[in-house]
Amino acid sequence: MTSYNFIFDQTISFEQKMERVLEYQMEKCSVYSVFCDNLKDHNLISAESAFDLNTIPLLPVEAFKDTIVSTVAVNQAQTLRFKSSGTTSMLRSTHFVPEPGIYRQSLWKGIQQFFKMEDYVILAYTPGYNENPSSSLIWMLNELIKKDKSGLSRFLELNEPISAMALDAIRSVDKRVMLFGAAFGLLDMSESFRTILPEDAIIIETGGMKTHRREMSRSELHAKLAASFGLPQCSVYSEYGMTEMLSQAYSDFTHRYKTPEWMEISIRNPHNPLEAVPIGKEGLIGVVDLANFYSCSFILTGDKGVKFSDGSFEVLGRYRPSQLRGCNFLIDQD
Amino acid sequence: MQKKELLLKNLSLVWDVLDFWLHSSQSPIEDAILKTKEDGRFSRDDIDFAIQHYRESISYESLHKWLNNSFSASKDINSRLLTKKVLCLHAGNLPLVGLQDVLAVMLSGNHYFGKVSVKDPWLLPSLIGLLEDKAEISCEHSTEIRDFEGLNADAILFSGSGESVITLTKLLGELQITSPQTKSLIRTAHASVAWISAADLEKNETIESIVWACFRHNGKGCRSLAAIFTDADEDMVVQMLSDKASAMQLENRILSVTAEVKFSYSYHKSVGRKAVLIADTLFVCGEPDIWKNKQVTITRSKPQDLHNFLESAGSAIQSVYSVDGTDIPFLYANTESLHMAQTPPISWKPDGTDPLLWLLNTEHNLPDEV
Repeated sequence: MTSYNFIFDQTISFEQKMERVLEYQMEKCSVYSVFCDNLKDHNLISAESAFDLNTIPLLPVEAFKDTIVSTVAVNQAQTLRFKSSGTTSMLRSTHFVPEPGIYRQSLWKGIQQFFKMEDYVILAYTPGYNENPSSSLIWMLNELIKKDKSGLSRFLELNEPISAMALDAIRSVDKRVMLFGAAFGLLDMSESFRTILPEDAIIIETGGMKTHRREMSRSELHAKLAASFGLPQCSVYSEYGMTEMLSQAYSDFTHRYKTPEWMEISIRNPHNPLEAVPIGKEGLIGVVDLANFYSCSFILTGDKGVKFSDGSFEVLGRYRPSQLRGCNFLIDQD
Repeated sequence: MQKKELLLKNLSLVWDVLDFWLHSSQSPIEDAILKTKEDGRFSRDDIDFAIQHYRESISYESLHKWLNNSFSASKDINSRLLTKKVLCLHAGNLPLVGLQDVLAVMLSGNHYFGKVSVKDPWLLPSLIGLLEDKAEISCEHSTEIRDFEGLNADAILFSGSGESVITLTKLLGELQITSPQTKSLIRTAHASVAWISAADLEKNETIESIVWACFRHNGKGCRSLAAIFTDADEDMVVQMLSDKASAMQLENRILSVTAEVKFSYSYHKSVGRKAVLIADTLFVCGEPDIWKNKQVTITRSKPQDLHNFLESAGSAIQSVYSVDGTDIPFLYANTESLHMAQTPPISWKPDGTDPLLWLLNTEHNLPDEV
């Protein structure tokens, strides 16, 4: 298999890396290649186009549900198969990762750009790895837990509180708690069990703003989590990731996400996803994740977002077209 | 005079004006039609179609039947007729799309206030002006929402959903166009679906009915067809539609295919999905999707699958069509005739609610459910 190591090489610019990945995937990722050919047939891109971050064609993320997205054969023994959440009767995305090393490097180098991991013990409030081997999040957490030399990092028992003994053990080795979990899971936990975390603990929630009860804003969620766990709001962070991406972005209390060096965001016009919208304007979140070396690095998500001049971005929820079909009185148009 | 007598007297006044407006060679509608055609927002064919439909379907008898049925179903039929201020916000996606609401307000004996869309500014005002001049019926209209500042309407009717409703409601409150006591009838349905069986496809008129259900008014109405469920072969259905559209020279009606449609087409083809561009609309075989403009999905399925889809789509679906309008076993939903998709009677019920009945109940601050 073609080597991916260059994507983590800090001496090569992002643009140069992107060009190499594009060349590789245009040749080897058939769905992306055919997609680009079809765009050319419709004169949406030209055969001679040189792309940059804001013009590169982005494959709709549902491709991972609709077909196999891969640059290599997917039947190799070590290939990881990650599936999006959902019931077995639903169509779910599948992300084939033929070389687990690339995901290991991406998640570890990525999180270290935001947190000094040797200071932390990870407590993951999610189902354990054995119950969910096809979850890319849980696989990631399992890898982070294995990397902790203290041996104190682990998956927590669901529907049980964090024991005082566990917190004492973490304190005794001069480490901080990093409580990791899905937004709704952490909320349920905080409402079921009153646990005050040490003042230097942090929480990282991984999205999922809809609970079975209601939808809630990120600010509201963070305020609730902070209050419930006895922490200031600045100790609550968010992670932006998905089955279809091998890299993650992280945000602090400002709700502005930052990406690792091999990942960039381009906000696209929903009515023409080959166009980027100006900085500060809302649109569809496009992701260029070079760690998706063996699948497709150029993805158009279904999320709405806005990018800022410093390269950070905000996630504003799922995209819903403003000009829906049917009669719709729009004050600025009617 | 009894309430019903008053309403019937009112109906006669309204009908006299309507009759003149629709049928007289002196009617201002002719000038309004010309101006609307010059504006170029709607195809000339669609404008003519809409006018012709109203000329054929609106009569004293059809209005009388509508009023009679609504009145009989309304509550407190012996109470006094209280005239209230009713504001209608008219969208401009189809020519004369707000006509039913205008007539509902008139027939209910209320005062009409209409925010006319800047996208369709001639047709409705040509009627409203006549109602004022000839029948001395109190009505006001404007294309500017701020002209209704301070109105404090008793009731408001419009279509919208999600964020647009939240923004609009806030603005209306700030301008005191509405108050916390204003009753509102907000329609949220976006699109319609159809069950077409393999046997239906053997009938001559079925494919043409599907084409017009998709393409009339550029597919922009809530009664336009967005998803077809069928037990026939999807590829065959797409081919039949494509052949028919070609024979009907539908491409003459369109200006261009949007980048959004081309992008979507490129994607579907790349994942091996059957997708065909017919005129400016993408027909895709696969999972049903009613949310994208200029797209119609065709899903091979059973009636139970359509039933399940209706349950998940909820209030987003306006109408469910079958070819003859007969109910389909295991569908568990009322169906309308596909042939009437774009020619509903004046008394049809958007989102399942008769606006005339709603107004007759609302004037007495009775519960909104009818």
